[in-house]
Amino acid sequence: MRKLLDKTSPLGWRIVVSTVAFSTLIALIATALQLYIDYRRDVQDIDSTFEQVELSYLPTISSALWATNRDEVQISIDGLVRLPDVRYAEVTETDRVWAKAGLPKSRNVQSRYYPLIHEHRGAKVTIGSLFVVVDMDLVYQRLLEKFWVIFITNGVKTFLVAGFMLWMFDWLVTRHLRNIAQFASRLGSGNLEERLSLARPSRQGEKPDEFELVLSGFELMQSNLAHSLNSLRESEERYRTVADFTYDWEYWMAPDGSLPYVSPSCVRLTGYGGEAFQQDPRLLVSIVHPDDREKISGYLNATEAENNQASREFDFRIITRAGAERWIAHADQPVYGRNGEYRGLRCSNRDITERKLAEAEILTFNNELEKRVSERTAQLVAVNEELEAFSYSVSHDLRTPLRSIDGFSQALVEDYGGKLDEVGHDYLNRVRRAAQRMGMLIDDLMRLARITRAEMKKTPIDLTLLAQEVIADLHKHRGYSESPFKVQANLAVIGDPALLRIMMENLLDNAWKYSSKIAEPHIEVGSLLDKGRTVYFVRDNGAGFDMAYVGKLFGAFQRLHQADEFPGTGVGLATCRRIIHRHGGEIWAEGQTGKGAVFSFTLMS
Amino acid sequence: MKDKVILLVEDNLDDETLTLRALSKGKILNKIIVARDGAEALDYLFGTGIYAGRDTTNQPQLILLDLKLPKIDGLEVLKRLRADARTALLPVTILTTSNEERDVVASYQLGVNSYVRKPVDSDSFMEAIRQLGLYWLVLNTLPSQGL
Repeated sequence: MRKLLDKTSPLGWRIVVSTVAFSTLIALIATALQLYIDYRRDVQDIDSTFEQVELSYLPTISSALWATNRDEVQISIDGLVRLPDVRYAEVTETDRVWAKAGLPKSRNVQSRYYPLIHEHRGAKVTIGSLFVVVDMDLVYQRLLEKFWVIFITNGVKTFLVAGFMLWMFDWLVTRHLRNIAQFASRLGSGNLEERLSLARPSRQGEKPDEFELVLSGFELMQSNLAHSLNSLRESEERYRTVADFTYDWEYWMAPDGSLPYVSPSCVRLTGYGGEAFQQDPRLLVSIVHPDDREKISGYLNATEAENNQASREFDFRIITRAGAERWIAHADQPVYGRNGEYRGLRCSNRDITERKLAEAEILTFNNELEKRVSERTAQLVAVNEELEAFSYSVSHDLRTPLRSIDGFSQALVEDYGGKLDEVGHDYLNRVRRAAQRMGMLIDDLMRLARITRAEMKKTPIDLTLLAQEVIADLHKHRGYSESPFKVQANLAVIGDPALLRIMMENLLDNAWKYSSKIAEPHIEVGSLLDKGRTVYFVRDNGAGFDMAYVGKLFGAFQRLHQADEFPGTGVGLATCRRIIHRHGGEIWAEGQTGKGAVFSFTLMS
Repeated sequence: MKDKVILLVEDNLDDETLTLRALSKGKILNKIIVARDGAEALDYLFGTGIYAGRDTTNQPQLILLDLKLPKIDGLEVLKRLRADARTALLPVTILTTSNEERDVVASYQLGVNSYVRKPVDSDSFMEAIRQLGLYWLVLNTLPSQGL
């Protein structure tokens, strides 16, 4: 019984109980009604019995009494007593009990007095009375019996029905409900593939009943769930791929300071796993290098207002779990939810230790470089000064004896010329010429050296004007005629005026020297465009040179002619080349023996 | 002006001879005092050392000063004689082989009156001396006080 009770479904039980109660109520009402009806019928029967008495027995008894036929009266009332439910009948005649039948009873009875009336000669005379007692006990007993019968039968019926109902309910409903419940819980634990099936006979073509609706409902729900779950999974995978595989350490700090998400890469940077930070967000601060704590002070406690700016970035050092020091570049920005509510900070930390080391290295390297450069510069300056001192003293020391050589040779010629013959004069002249030549050489060399050392200015120069001034100078100091010269107008260059003057002096002097011997010398200064750059030239139609020796042209002391043919020290072109090189340009020459030469040069723009 | 003196400060004997010869060829007949180094020159000017007791009111009319001198070099001599009231206004011509810009600048900064580069070629040298003499001793006017 207990097991049965346990198996019964709570729902079924409730239904049954309420149904039984209701049915019992109805039954009670019905029973009451029925009993009442029965009672009324019985009462009616009794009434009809009384009627019968009144109708049939009364006259008889009345007559019999009039006739004082005691026997007849007794027979009548015996008969009367034998009527259903009549218990006692008594005939009285003027207070004297004349006859009786049955047993008197006073409880649960109905009694009637009938006056016995005899009609005698047209007048009704009451000769006595009949007293009848009907026993109600039987009625009541019958009612009680009926009541019990009904009650018991109803009870049994109810019990049976209840049991049947329970069972039916379980078979039709509870069983399936339980299946559904179990299915739903399996569903809940993620099993979306299983189809719900209830062990029921399939009903084709009829209107789907409630369970079938549930089934189709479940199917729909399952497919929708599967769908949503899939998209969710995809979405999660997408974001997880990005988030969990970040190279840098990323985390989300909620407004209350907790860390809902810490990327796994934090182990690589700090040695601590994400959980360590999530359990105690203060770890964020405690791993910071003590010297840098101030920089990030208040970081954990910053209010929303403070965090509510555009992203912040700053660098600081941390001590990893293993005790190593690393530089971290931190960047964070505020995050807002869908409704604009502040949701915290999204933070990104990058290990920039290498970068910092590289920066430091570069800095030291730079400093070293600068130191070395200034050392080297100092060295160069020293060397330059030495060179200058050297050349200064050299030129002085070389010139002095030269002066003596030349001076005393001259003195000889002037004071003792008479004592010398032609050969002697000739010898002395050679000595003088040689000395003078050496002086020129020294001057040229000094100039060449000075050009290398001198500081260069870079100003715009009118080359046309410069050339014209040089030509005028040459004319004034060397007596060169100006007519062979032609200078192109508007030649503009950028360079050092002093150096360029020296160069033009050399080139123009050369041009004149080497054209001096021909009848119609032409010397031209101009410019042309060649491969996108401006090339300046000095062209003459003089002696020219053999291109085979062009390589020697610009070497110091190199000459392609004899000194008596064309005077010169051979330093001029070397000087020109050095000047052009200092201007970042090139110089070259083309010539043809007997036809002339062109000296071309470029200057850095 | 014949009794006016020219002070030649020159350490090189050859140059000294050539200069003297040039002066005489150039018809400059003043008395010429030769100092072999800077110290001697200053001694002469200030009446010290080997020239102690000289009458320093009688100063040269022209000083021909070489730059490269032993003991005390030309620029130092120039500086000192310009610093002393007795000699501050004396005409000084630097006569030297150097034409280094910095020497020229230094000399002028110290108050030299002219700077002449000794040419190697003796004709030019003679001519230069002659012109020098002509200019400083004949053409140029000197203040009368202090001399």
